[in-house]
Amino acid sequence: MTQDTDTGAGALPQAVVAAKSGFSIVWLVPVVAALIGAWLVYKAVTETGPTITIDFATGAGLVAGKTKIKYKDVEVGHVTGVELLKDLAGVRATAEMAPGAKDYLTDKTRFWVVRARLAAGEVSGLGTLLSGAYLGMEPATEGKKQRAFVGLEKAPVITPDTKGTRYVLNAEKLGSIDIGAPVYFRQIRVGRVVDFSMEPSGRIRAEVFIQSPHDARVKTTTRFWNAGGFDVSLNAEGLQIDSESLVTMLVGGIAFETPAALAGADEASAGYTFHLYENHRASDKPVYDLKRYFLVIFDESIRGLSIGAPVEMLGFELGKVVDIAPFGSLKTGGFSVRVLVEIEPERYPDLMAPTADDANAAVIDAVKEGFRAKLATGNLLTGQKFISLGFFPDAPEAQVDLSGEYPVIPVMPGSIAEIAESFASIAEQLEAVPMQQIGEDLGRTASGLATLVNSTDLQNALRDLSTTLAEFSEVAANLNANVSPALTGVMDEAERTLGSVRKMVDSNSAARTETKRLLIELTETAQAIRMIVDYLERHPEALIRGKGD
Amino acid sequence: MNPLPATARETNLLGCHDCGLVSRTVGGHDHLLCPRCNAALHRRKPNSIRRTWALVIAACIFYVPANLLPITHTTSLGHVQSDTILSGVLYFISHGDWPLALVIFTASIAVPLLKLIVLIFLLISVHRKSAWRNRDRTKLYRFTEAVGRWSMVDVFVVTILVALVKLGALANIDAGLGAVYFALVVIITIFAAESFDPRLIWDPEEEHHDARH
Repeated sequence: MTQDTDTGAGALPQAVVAAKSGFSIVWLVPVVAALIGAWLVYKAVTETGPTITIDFATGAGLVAGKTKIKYKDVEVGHVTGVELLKDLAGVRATAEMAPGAKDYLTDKTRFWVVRARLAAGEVSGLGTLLSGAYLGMEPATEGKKQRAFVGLEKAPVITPDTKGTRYVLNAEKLGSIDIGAPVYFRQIRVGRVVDFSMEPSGRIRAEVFIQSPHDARVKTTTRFWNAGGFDVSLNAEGLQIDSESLVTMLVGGIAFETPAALAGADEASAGYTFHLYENHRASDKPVYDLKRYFLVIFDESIRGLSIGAPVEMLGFELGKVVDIAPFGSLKTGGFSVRVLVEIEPERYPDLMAPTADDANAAVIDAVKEGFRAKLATGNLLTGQKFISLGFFPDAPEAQVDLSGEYPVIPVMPGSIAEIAESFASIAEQLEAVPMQQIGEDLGRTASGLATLVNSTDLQNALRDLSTTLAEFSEVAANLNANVSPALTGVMDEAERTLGSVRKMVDSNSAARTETKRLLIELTETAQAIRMIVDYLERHPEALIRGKGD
Repeated sequence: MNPLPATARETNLLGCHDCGLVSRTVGGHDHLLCPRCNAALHRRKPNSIRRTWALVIAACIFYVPANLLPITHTTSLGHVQSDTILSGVLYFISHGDWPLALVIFTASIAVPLLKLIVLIFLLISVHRKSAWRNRDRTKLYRFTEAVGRWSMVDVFVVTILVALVKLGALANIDAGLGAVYFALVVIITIFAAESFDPRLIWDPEEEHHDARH
């Protein structure tokens, strides 16, 4: 076999030697592949922005891989994953941001879900109906860099680049105001309601945003009122309907104005709190939101003092009585009446400082100077009382009791002291009366009486009286004998007269018939009068214009 | 008795790839030409191992973007969705389309990966002159070579979809960069399998045999 091969091989032609080639070109393939790979990696690193997480209360509208993050309608990232938080308290969206966005991701950056909104007279986010919700972003360059965010539940109404100022409105009730509701100044839209919430006290706190330059018109004396719906008033000029605009009639709104007399006040700083009046008319009467409470404890009778009674200082009303409650023990006695008064320091800002502690300090100082509360009579006829605050330099020293819930203002003894004073003056006058002399005079009068009784004149007089009486009885007997028969004759006459009268008023007598007719006439007349009165009551103008028909 | 038949290499003979002429080798020279048609003559596929390595490495590099980058951008009603191969598979699984998911997974993920692994394994085993289960390894190679082209199915699917679904804003499918890299992976692995010379698997046995003589 080997032999055969050898023989065959010998017969075969010999291959030709070729020139040597160098580097194998095939290595270019992995080199190119590596270059492309490196380029892809470089691209991925430079073009992929930071990955961030945003926590939301719910995942409504968030779809992994679909939901985009937009700023000014430009896509700046997209949500790559949505998962529940470990404690199930919410969802965490993981988002990949555009590379340029990394400078705007700080702890001040805000995210929120944008959905279609049809409120406050405008439609926004209609595009989200087709494409689904997206995340709005409010970039912020200042602040600490951050990669984990907590999303807002409510989309902010005002974009951060809008210039203007935020103010706080304090209201009893919200009315028909919604977030985004317009704020008007002289019926020009100058701002919006940004937010509202309920305070722990139950009052409503609404935040409004007034755009620049209109925010310069908001002074500390400016009054805001609820301009929602419309005001109908009927007066001598006819029916009058007041409304800021059609929009406010439908969705509510707020208007503001500064009373001309108070327009010189300072511009309100951002966050300044105003009272939200119920309507334009109510805004004419200032309402004081700030209230301070003090206790006044009376040991005397407060008869005549009622809840709502004014608290005055030199006749200037500072507040009112809000509660009256007795306290003390039935067993030990020692009753007092605790009167809670409400002072509105805004009425007289110099009196009390804005914070409760300052106010207390001011009251403590004032009490040192003789500041006291006093029960005073407001009306002498009805006996109504009020509480008067004032300075009594002669008052005994006292201190403000701060131990309880409310500071206690010491009392200047009021009406009891007055009564005591008047008693004292009565006593003084009584003292001036010459009692001794009166006594002596009385003694003398008594002895005079005694001598008079024992005198013979009186005995003579008595004797005369008895003879006079005897004569009188004789006269009476005479009368009995002579006057009696005549009297009997008179009686008979009278009886006869009465008989004829009876005949006259008998049922068939002419006089009776006449009287009856007269009575019927009278009844008819009365009826007619009643009808006239009725008609007049309904148509009083008939007096002037006559009976219409 | 020699249990193995004589090979061309053992007898210092070379066959021409082009005209089939068998010629004798020239001792000490590697680069030979056919005396009849002037084609290059090789005892084995030239630089088989190096070339295969190069292509396998290139394929491995491309395999990464092929799987990470989206192969399709599907636009429907203004909403764009990008799918990678794996997300497509997961999409079909989540929609209960198991058979389709299995086909795509096998053709587009499993087969290219297996091919790369098998080629690397063969290259390493040849490099180490391993004589372990030569016949099985050859079978593995044949299988790899045969199955490799089917991976192109995915590329064709994308191509057809892109051509067919052109409904403007309503629905539109565009090929992503991933499709390009995926096609490159498939093509390069086909070339890599092609450049590997299965005869190399058997050479160690021959040398072993020679050494025994």
